[in-house]
Amino acid sequence: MARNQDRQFGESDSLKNLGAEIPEAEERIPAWAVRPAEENKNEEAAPAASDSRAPEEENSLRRGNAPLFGLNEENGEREEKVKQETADKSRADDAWTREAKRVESTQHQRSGRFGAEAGDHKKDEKEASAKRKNAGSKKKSSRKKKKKQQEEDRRGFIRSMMVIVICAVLFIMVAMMVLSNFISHPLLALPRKMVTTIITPVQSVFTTVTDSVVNYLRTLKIRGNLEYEYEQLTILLDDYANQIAQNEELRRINEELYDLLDEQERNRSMNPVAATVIGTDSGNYFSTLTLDVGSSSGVEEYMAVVAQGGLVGVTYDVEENKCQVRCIIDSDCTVAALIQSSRDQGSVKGTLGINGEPMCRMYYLPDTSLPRPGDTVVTSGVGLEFPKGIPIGYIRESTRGMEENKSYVVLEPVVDFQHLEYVTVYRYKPAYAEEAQAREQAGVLELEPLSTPRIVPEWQLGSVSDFIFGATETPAPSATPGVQPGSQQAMQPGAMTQAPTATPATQPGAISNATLAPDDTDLPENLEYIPASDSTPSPTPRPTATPAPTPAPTADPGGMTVEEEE
Amino acid sequence: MKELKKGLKALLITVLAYLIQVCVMEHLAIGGDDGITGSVVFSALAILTVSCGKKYAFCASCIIAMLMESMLSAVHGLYIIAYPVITMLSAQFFADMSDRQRERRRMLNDGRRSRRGEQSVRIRWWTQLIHYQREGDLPAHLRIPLCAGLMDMILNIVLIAYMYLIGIDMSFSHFGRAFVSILYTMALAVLLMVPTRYFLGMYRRKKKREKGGELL
Repeated sequence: MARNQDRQFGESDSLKNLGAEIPEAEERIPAWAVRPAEENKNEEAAPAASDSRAPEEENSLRRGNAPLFGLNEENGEREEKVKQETADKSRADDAWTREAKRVESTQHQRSGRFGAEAGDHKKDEKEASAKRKNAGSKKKSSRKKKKKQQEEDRRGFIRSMMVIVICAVLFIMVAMMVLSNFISHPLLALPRKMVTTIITPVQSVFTTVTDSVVNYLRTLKIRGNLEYEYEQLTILLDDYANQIAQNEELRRINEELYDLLDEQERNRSMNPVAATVIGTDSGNYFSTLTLDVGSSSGVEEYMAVVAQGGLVGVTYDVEENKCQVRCIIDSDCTVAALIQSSRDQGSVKGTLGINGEPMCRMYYLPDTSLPRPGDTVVTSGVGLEFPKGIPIGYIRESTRGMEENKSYVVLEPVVDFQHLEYVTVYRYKPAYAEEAQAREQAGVLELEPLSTPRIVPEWQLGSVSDFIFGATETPAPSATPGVQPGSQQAMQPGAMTQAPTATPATQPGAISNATLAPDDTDLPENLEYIPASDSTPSPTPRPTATPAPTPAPTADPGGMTVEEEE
Repeated sequence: MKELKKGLKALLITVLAYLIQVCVMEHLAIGGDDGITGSVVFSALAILTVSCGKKYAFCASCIIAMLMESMLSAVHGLYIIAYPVITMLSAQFFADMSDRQRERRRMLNDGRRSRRGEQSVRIRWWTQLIHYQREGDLPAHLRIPLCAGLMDMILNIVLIAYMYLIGIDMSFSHFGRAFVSILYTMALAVLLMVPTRYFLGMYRRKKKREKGGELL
């Protein structure tokens, strides 16, 4: 170890001797690279200050080598100090030696090139000046950094102080508000008042704006739903319209059926049966219908078919489950009729085949008859097995008085033949017809007088005074139709000729219960058709007001002339 | 100046959150006009807690508490105490960790690892949530809804306890409504955190940091 130290020391000493022997080399070393004299002095003074320091250590310090740790273990503090100092010294020596070698090598290089390039001196000067400038700028930047750091520290302090102050103020305000719940003091209520004063107008403005925006959005939402709602309502409206149409149809059918039922109820004595029109042949010349009733329902030929309070036509071509109806506007259909007011009789015939109009004409009126427009024409019950009094139509025009060649009047039928759906077939048969039919079926060939439809008075004329005085007890004639056979009214002279002309067919409200006989067997043979009070449908065109029927001359006992028996 | 700007932004967010809570949220209730509403106030407080720190959160909670106590005090003294306390309690869990705390935890964990002889401890994400000695913070976008949910949950617990104490029978509907309210508040926090943090300048700071510039 000691040998090694000696060797090291010797090496450093030989270097010094080498420098002394070669003065040129010392001259080449620049002044700043030479170790300062003060440092050498310190180094020299150091062993003097530390008397107790071993010479090996001093040598090692002088050489700049690592100290010999652990040689003096007794004094730990001193060892630590020495260790620190030696480390510093060795670092400084190493740096010094490295720099010196570097400068020496560069100077060698420069000297080698000196003769060749003389302009390198300027570069060296520039480098040196740049280094000096860098050193100055570094010093300036370090100063700036220090100032900046100080400024930041100051700002941070102010910032933290501000935050602390704000937090403290807020905390105090919160505490005051908390305390205001327990202690009522005006000072404690100050924060609450302040907050309320500040925030109330802001909140009111914000609420107004929010409400307006919300209302606008709601409006938009409603508008967005409008299309959907419109579609839904359109569907609903279509449904309702469909239901209304169905209801209207049902109402119409109900009305028709009600009229039909009412008509049948009023004319139950005529044995009515309802039928549906299942076919229509309304050509230019003929007008026939097909009904869904036939012989199985008791329908026979030449029975009256009625609808809407008027005569439709006559049955023909009856089969088991259907029958044909020839309408009264058909040219082949002829019905016996009379004018209700004047009781003038004639026959009604259709005009469809004549001029193509769905009208009727009434022929064979008396020459003296001058029917007025609007008079009602009804069936007379003559000829066919028709009930009497079924309205056929209204007199539309009468030019018989002006045109001599014209022997008819034009009738407008009661029935709307274009809109027939339900009809009633009257299976009415007069008693004499039934009797004749029964005889034909029985094969009886004896000629027996038929029971006359005229009512034969059962009483015999007595004395004039008895008749006169008895006639005073006779009740006044009424306009009630339907004469009961065997009653006193039937014995009136007027009743013997005709049925009462004050037929309620034109007076709907004059229908009495007496006309509705509950049993067909008790019915007289000269029953008249009683249309329903409201049997005429509303859409049917009505002619002008029918004049009041002229009352038939009623038998007045006072005006009667009776031949006395001699 | 920057701090003042940031403070003003935080104040604006706070007041706006209060106004929205008072004026708008009644129209955004779940289940009609008398439905369940979330708490925009807690969402804003959670955002401020995570983004700006505990001091800002405390100031904002005090302002909110004063506003609520002055304008909408159903129970005197409840909001003025509850809001700051709840906010600071939540901030203890979800605010940014201080450098000192972070360094302390790092050292503790290093020591623990060295004692165990482990080079690296693998910590899963779900253990990060409940790890009381985790070294770093959770992602901010995860902390904000969790913080808002915690705040609303604490307030709901307080209110339910108050209702129970005044003699109202508790039923499942109370807890169900509270649960829906918490979820609503968390959803509001998720919705509001990105624009609010952008308004506060959090994303611009991140961009500058990525570019290598100075922090704001």
